[in-house]
Parts: sequence; C-alpha cells; structure tokens
Amino acid sequence: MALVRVSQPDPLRTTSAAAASATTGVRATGESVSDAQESLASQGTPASWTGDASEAAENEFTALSARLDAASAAFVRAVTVLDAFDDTLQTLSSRRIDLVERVSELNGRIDTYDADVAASDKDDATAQEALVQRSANLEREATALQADVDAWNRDQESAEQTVVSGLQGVDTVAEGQSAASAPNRADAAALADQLQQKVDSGDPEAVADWWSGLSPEQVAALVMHSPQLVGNAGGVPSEVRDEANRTSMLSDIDYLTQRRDDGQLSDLERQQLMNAEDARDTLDDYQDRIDPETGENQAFLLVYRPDAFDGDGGVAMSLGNPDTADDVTSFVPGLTSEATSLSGNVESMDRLMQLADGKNGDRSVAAITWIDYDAPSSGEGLTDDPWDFLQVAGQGKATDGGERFADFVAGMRASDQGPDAHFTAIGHSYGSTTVSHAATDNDLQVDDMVLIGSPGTGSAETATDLMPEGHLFVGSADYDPVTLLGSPAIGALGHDPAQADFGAHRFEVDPGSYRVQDLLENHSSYFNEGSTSLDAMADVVAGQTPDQVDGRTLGSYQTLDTLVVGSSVVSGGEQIWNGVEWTGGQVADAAGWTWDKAKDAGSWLNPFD
Amino acid sequence: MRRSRIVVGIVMMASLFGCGDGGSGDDSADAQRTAEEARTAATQTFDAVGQGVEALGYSSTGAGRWVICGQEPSPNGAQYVAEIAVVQSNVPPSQYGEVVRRQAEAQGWSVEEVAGDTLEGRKDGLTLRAQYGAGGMNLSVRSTCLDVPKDEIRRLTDLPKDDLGVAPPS
Repeated sequence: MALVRVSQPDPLRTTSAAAASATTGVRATGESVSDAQESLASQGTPASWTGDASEAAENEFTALSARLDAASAAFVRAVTVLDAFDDTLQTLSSRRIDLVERVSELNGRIDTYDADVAASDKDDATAQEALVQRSANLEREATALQADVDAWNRDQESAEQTVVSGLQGVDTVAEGQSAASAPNRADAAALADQLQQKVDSGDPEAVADWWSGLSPEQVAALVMHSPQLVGNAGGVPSEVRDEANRTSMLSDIDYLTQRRDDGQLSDLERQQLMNAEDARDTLDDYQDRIDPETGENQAFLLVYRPDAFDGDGGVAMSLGNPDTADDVTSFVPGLTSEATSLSGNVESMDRLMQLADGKNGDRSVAAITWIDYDAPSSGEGLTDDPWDFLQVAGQGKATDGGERFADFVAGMRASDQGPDAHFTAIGHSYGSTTVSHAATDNDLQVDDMVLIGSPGTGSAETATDLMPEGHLFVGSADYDPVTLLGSPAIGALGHDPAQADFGAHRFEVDPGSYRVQDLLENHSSYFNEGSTSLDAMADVVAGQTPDQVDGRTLGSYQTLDTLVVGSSVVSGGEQIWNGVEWTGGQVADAAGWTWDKAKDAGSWLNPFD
Repeated sequence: MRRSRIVVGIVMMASLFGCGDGGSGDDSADAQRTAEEARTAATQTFDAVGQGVEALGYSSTGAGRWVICGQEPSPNGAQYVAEIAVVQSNVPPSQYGEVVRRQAEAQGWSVEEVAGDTLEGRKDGLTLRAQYGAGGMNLSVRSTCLDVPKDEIRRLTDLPKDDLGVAPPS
C-alpha cells in the first residue's frame, strides 16, 4: 500500500510584521486619545469664568474626560492583546519553519521508499520483508508528524480566536469603563514619572533593570502614554523604542498634517512635519527588508526628536536589531546633517552592513545611523560650502554632540542582550570630531573606532587619547582637502589622525580625483560601492583588522594649499585641452609644465613652510 | 591673508575654466532606461525565485526606488534598487541556497556565494543579492551607479517608489 505524504502546515494567515504594523496604528490612535484626555483633565474651565454656564461646562469637561479615559484604557487593553498576538505569531512562525523542514525531509524519504519499492525484486523475500518494515516505520513517523501539523493548524486558529475575543472585550463603552476602573490598571502617569527619574539619573543600566520588571500591560500603557520618553530612553529594549517612536511619528504626522490643512502650521512645526515624514519615508524604504533569521522588519527607529535643535531634528535608525546583533556599528555623519539627511546616510550604512555581513561568518550585524546632535548647518548663516563650514564651525557642537553620542552608545550597551556585542563607532568629517569628543570628554563604550575624512580629533593628541592601542582606525583620502585642515599644524578642529605620529592604524583609501572641482566629492566617497575604504570599514565592523598603510609625514603628502593650487592648475589645463584640441604631445608637455608650476606655487603658498 | 586671497583667486579661476558638477553624459533618459531594465529583471527574478521556494507570502508586491551613491551631503551618483522579501514558504530554509542559485541561473544570472547565507548574481550591469535564513529571504536587484548631476540625483531620489507588481502567491 502506498504511503501517504504528510501535508504541510497551513500558511500563517497573519505575519508578525503585519500584526506589528496594525498595533502601531492602534497605539498611535490611543496616544492621541490619551493626550486629549490628559489635556482636558488638566485644563478645565478658566478660573475667571464663573456662574452656571461655567459650572455646566466644567461638568461636561469632567464627563468627557471620563469617557476619553475609558477609551484610553480600552486602547491599552487592545494593544496588550495585539502585542501578545504578535508574540504568539512569532512562535507559530518559528514552529512552522521547523515543521516545513521535517515534513519536507520525511516526504523525501517516502519518495525514496516508493522508488525503492518500484525497483525492488518482488521475488526477493528478504528485500520485501525489509521494505515492509521500512513502510511501517515511515507510516508511524508520518502519523506522528501529521499530528504535529494538525496541532499547529489548531493553534493558529486558537490564536486568532484569542485576539478576536480580546479585542471584542473592549469594544463597548461599558467595557472601556470597566477597564478604566479595574483595580490592577497600570498607572501610566506614575510609570512615566519613574522612568523619567531613571533617565535623568543618567544610568541606562538602571533603566534596563527597571524596564525588565514591567508587565506587558504596564509596557503598553507607558508606551501609549509617553512614547517620546520611552522611544528616546537609553536602556529600553530597541524593539520597544522603535514601537514608541513609530507611534510618536504617526501621531505627529496626523496632527501636523491637520494643522497644515487648517493653515495653522508654524515654521517650527513645518520643519517637524518634514522630519516626521522623512523618518516615515525612510522606514517605508525598508519595509521589504526582513531579518532573515527572525523574519521581523529590519529597520528600527531608535531616536525620534523632530523638534530638536530648532527644527533640524534628531533621529537614529538601525538596520538590524542592535540588541541581538553580534557586531554593531553606529555612524555619526558630519556637516549639514539633520533629521532629513537620514535616508542617504542609511544607504551608506546599508552598503557597509552588507559587506560586513559577508566577512563575519555566522555573526549578525546591525548598523545604526545616528543624527542626534546639532551639526553645523546652513541655517546658521553659513554658505553651502562644506569647507566654509569646517573653517568656522569650531568644536562647540562636536563637544555637545560627543556627550549625546556617548550617552546613546551607553543606552545601546544597556539594552544589549546575550553576549556583549562588538561595537564600532564611525565618524565622518565633523562627525569624526564629534566621536573624538565622545571618547576624550566622556566614557564612550566602544571596542573600535573609525575616523574617516577627519578634519581633526578635538583635544586628542594621539590615538591612545581616543582608544586603546590598535583600536583606532583612520581613513583619509590623499586628495580630500578636509582631512588636511588638521595638518601639518593643528587645525581649528584638532589634530589630523592620519599623521604617522598620531599613532592610529591608517587603512588604504582611494586617493580620489585630482581635479579641483572634485575635491569635495573626494570627501564624500568613503562609502562608495566597491571602494577600498568601504571594504576596510567593513573589516573593522566585522572585528577584523584591515591592511595598514603609512601615516602622513611631512613631504609625503600635499598640504592643503598645494593640493588646491595644483588641482586648480591641472583642471584649468584640462579645460583648455577640451577647448582647443591640442595634440597629445602638446598636452603632455603642458601638463608637465602646469604640474611643475603648481608644485612651485603650492610650495610658495604653503603657510606652514 | 595675502596668501589666502591668492588661493581663493586660483580656485575662482579654476571655476571660470568650467569647474562644475563633473556630471557626465548620463541624463534622465539613461536613468529611465536603467530603471526599466532593473525593474524587468527584478520582477522576473523575484517571481522565479518565489515559485522555486514555493512562496506563501511576500513583504509586498515589490518596490523599486533610486538611492544615492556616495555620501551625503555630496552624493556622486544614483542607482536603482528593487527589493522584496519572501516571508513564508513551503520549501525548508535549508534548501534556499540551492533553489535560489538554480532559479537565478535560469534567469541568466552568474551566481556566486559571497557568504554562507548570501548569494550574489550579475548580468548586464545589474547585481542580484539573495540573503536568507530561517525567517525568510531578502531579494534585491541593483543597477550600477549613474554619474548624473546633483540636481538629477535629487530628482531621482525624490521620485515615489515603484510598485513592481510581483504576483502574490496563488
């Protein structure tokens, strides 16, 4: 008798990502209701308003506040139910994968058995006996496995019934009022006060300890009540920070879009709306990216402060869960970086992450883009020329940013799960000065540091002022003018870390184009696909050591003036060539002449000679 | 001070010689053609891989968009990226690598393993990447970087995402 194949489990009808997305929407609506209720409860009628009308209004406010409070309690219950459903879906998904693997393996063996039967010698009694025995064993295994599959199918139906009945339990006013008056109802305001105190104490480990003691309903109530606080609190699990920040973001977009449509948007609110929409769009860009091990969405919004820094905004987003990843990196971009710069910088991190992921075996990678400091920007009357920015910016914003970055990393360390992750900080341009200040002025808890395109390292005079020996890596393109601001004399932003006597591990970087119009592009080429610098940074993120090249010594590189003059003359010659179509020989002669003159001019102009 | 003025003067002269964005001959027509090629390859390949792994669910119907090459604040080009994720299938994850390689090669990709759980394929200037694990599979197709002027980079990256229209599993 032919053996029956085991059927695969039913498809998972709701994915975890879909459930999480729905929960975020419900939570955002609940947050708006909670806000409205708190606002109403705290304001009441003006003290100057007296008489019957005032009393009637006060009564109405109180009644409305109570109804909103009931709705708020209902939303907390609903989110708690949906969160639990999400957890169940993740378990079901994991079990399903295991079942698919087992069903596929067993059905494969049944196929083999059938083939063996077809090919067997019907007159060979011993062989037939063995086949009968195999058949019995396979049938027994198939029956047991089919029972597991059936149980999984039933569990999925049961999970769906549980979430439906849970939501139905809070879908009337009476049920909302019952939830509001429940003796064990989480006191969200009190929890928020406690969390705020922990955050103010500056100890993210204490935040993490306190958080781990909360019940699911307390978490739901707190996130809905104070998403801004939860979302930006170091020590809170990254998944929860992401949920809270997405809640704030959606709520902001709803509110500010309405204000815009009503013609009431202030300049600051207009900036906030842009920041919120940019965060949403960047998250949307990664909606098709999952963690291949967990199946969860790969993007985490770890910081969301759209109103920070006079509207420039603060934001941080990770690709990969930094709490569970083995190798984590956090990138601090430089000049003109603000919340709306998120998308392009996340792309850089995506390229770095994919490369590092191919270098570190079975280890997982998370790459964070951190833009939560007040980077010098054109809003301060500077021109759009990055060079100009660097000359006049000074170190103040890097000092402040360094403190914020060190705090952020400490928060990530506190929420880390399992063995400590290998953590690499990367700073580009002014961001490298910021990361340097995070290390010299604060307790920056990283294992490795990469400074690229650095105009200076703040107060650090040697590599060991920043990191232990062998853990500071520097990439500076020969023709990146920004990296020459700190050498050979100390520039406004500190020492050039690519100098040999600074003592860092300098890795190879493509020198860049020697045309004056490309010099600043050389400053923005470190994350180019296929570049040596990207490969070297991926090595560091993966815990490896990139090849070392010689550091700069006087005479081994062109100083800033030399570079500018030389590349200007060469570029001018190139244009002349294009214009008058000289012969190749004449051009070669001209190029040699201009190069000599450029060198002479550069030497004469160099203020440090 | 005098030296600084001379340096600035030379930079200005260089600008007068035509120093600009350094953009090449690529224009919006190139961009349109590049996007179309990437979209077509992505849709066909995603569909083929999905069928190969007996996909039961995708993250979406697939999306394509332009992203910057290089780095903010001065990106040096743009490339088209099409992505989708297989979130559920009836083929066990242990067989993903073998199935993806077979399906991709049938679509004309030259495939190599770049990590234990990642395959990359190349054809006609496009790069296919498949990263998989127990939780599912990320699939992407990227074009090369187009060297276009800054304003064209902004225009392209500001475009709304394209829906690739990958057919949902039946």
